[in-house]
Amino acid sequence: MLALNDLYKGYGGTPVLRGLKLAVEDGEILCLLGPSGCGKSTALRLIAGLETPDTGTITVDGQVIINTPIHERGFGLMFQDFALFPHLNVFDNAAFGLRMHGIPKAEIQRRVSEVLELVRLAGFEKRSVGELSGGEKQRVALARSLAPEPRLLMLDEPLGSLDASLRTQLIGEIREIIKTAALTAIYVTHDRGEAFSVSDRLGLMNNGKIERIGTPNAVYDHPKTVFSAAFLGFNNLLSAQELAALGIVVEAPEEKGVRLIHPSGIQISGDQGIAMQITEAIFEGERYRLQVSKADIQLSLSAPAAGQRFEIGETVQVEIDSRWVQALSESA
Amino acid sequence: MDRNRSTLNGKGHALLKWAVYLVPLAFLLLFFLFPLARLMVYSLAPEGILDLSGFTKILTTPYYLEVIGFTFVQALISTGLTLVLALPCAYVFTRYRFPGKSLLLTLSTLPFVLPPVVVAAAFVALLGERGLINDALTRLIGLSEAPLRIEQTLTLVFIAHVFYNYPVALRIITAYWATQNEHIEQSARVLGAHGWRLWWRVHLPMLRPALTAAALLVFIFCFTSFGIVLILGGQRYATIEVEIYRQATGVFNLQVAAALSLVQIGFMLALMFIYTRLQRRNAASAELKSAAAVSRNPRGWREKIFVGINLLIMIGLLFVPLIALVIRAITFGGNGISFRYFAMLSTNPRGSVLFTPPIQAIGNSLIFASLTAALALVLGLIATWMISDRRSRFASWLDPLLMLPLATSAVTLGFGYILALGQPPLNLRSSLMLIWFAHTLVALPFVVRSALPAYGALPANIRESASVLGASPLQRFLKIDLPLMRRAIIVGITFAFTVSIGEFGASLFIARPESTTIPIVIYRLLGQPGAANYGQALAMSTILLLVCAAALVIIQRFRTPGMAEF
Repeated sequence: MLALNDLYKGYGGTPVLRGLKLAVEDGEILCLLGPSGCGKSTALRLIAGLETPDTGTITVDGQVIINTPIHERGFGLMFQDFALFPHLNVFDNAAFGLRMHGIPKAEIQRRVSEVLELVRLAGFEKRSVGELSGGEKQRVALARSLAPEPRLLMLDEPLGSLDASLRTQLIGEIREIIKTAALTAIYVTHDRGEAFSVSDRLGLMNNGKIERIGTPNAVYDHPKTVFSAAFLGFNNLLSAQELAALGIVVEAPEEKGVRLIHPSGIQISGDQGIAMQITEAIFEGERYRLQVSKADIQLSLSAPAAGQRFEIGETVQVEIDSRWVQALSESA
Repeated sequence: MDRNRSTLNGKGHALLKWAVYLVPLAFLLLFFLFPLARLMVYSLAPEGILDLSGFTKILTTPYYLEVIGFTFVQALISTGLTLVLALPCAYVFTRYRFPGKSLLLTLSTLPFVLPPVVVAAAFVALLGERGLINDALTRLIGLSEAPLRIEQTLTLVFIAHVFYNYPVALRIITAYWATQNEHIEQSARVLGAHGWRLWWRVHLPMLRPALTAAALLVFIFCFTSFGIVLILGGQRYATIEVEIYRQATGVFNLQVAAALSLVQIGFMLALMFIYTRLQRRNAASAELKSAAAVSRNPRGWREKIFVGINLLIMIGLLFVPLIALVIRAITFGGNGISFRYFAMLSTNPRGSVLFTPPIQAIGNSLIFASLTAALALVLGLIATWMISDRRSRFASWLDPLLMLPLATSAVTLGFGYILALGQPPLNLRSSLMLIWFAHTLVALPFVVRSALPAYGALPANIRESASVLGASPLQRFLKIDLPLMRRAIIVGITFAFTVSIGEFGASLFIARPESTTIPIVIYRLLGQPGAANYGQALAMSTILLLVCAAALVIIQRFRTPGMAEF
């Protein structure tokens, strides 16, 4: 539905987007995940029309929209700080887009009630937005974006300004609301957990480009690049020699690149495995986070606590499944 | 990151934008630059060929040289008096806490919005021959004539100048002093400095940037003083401003008047140049101050007396004359309170200096003020938009250009209007619009100064949300920008209204009998003998005072602290 073709954008000589390519399918929720400064928010601003790309095009259903004014694009954009209109109440905030499109009054009434119902804010119509809690503001912002039934909904860190417990609660809810409204959406976040739970497809961004794109499972299981693996928090990156020193057989050992031992392929076992010494043990309740070493090779892994106690200096058997050892490329 | 406020695409929008932008530009060109240019040309070549006799006359006639000399001397004396009185009071406001402090500080902004005719009337009502003090003295002691005779003398001019400028100096010095490290004074005290040596060696050198800024600003105000000198100074004294008016309308010596205007413009440009240079240097030398002064309650009888005396001076100077005006307006010529002079405003007795009953001037003034507020708002908002449009290059020159009417004396402006717009190709002499346009021009800087920071403070995300939701630039302006700038707009139009209703210098030139405004009527009434004229002048001034005071209440109520650039 939406396609970004080789977008370049810089601010005062600093490039932010460097040849961004992306295709968004009808009806999917695509997450753009990446560290701050990777260009994900800039990408949204270009799609929305708040900025113009230096080079490259944006098409919707094959039509170039670069020269379409912002207000005629028919998209929705939700900001991290929600940007609610402080002089309007909840109803008028939600109705704003519909009014701008000259929708008849009765229709506005019906549609606003519908979206407020959807975000579970029915009865809040006359409230001033100043007196709402963070979570309620977030819902108003969502309702306001949903009301005009945008062709594409963009959410820029929609949970970024909420506290942790509220976030976990709202992640599932947002996905459900977008799916109920049957919208195509781009969801920008720097939080892995949020991205995995909310998206149909996930694009990992680095340095103004897509580094890795796929379903959340595919990206998690096969990060493919050093950056992706590191961003996902995978830090067992070893050379072929180091793997050999641990007695792990790898394919094409002559190749120089880095290998990843995926977290799914490393665990503490009872008897068989590599004997390694614990250098760090952090108890996290359900699990232990462990650092183990052998002959200057450091590995990290997580082990279920389940009544066990791990001590620094203790030797444990570490089992590595060679099927989860993957070669990584430097970058996409 | 450099992010444009908005992206406005499409050729139609761009064309429309330029059409809108042209409106304030055309206004400034026609009703500001053209009259001034015409005035300049006239002073150099009244008949179309170069003729500098106007200037040679000024330079060779002792009388005109005296006028220029007097303009400087009176401004110098007024500035000195103002600073001497304001400095100790600034100390009181910086160092001490006392009940009613913030109220006093708020009330002290009243002179900013008071027209010179009201101030002149207030001092006449207090200190004039028929004023409150003389009235009380003659009654109490049983004198046959007024003991206090300072009407039509320089004393009253100086007092009125101090009235206007005392709050200016007080604000500048207090604001600066509050940022100074308190430990400096304490160190000096520990080292043995006290009394006058503390002032001479510590306070004054430390305050120099604020003192020079305040002094120059006060000097500029007094240098261009027109209404006060014209009304309170009498026939004997004239500043350049007053002389321009007299030459142009009294003896119809337009050539000398035009030459004097050019001299005045020259002096003003020089003074403004020095002032901006000074401000820039002060801004550059301002260091980060720590341990800013904290105010405390006055301790001991010496401190209490010091605070008390200063507050008495302030109240006596700023508020007693205004109270006297109101009291005199409702008690003059009778026993007890009576509103007979207010009632008389609606009559037009034979032999009156006016062609119409004064009440009609009130109507005129209200109409002009409303129209001015409306036009200044429209032009001011477009100008704000232009200055903030980052992709155009307006900001760098439009902002200073819009401020220029503030630095141009009203008399020069009025005279320029008569010369430029009173004859073909653009003859608006008999048109009421001239007053409207002159007032709008003077009011415009106030609207822009009020709207510009508010517009700049509009949250980018909120405006962008509106665009994404489908609001066109115009819809966004009407539905988002305007409501969010509501307070600044109220302040701006209130300022514009107040400026218009009190405008004196330009109106005096332009107004015709049927378009007379309140200040002109007060001026004419004050200049005439007879109790009826005097009483009506006071009544009319009281009405204007109340209108301005109400405006000040609105401005104080709606201004965002730290936001307005005044």
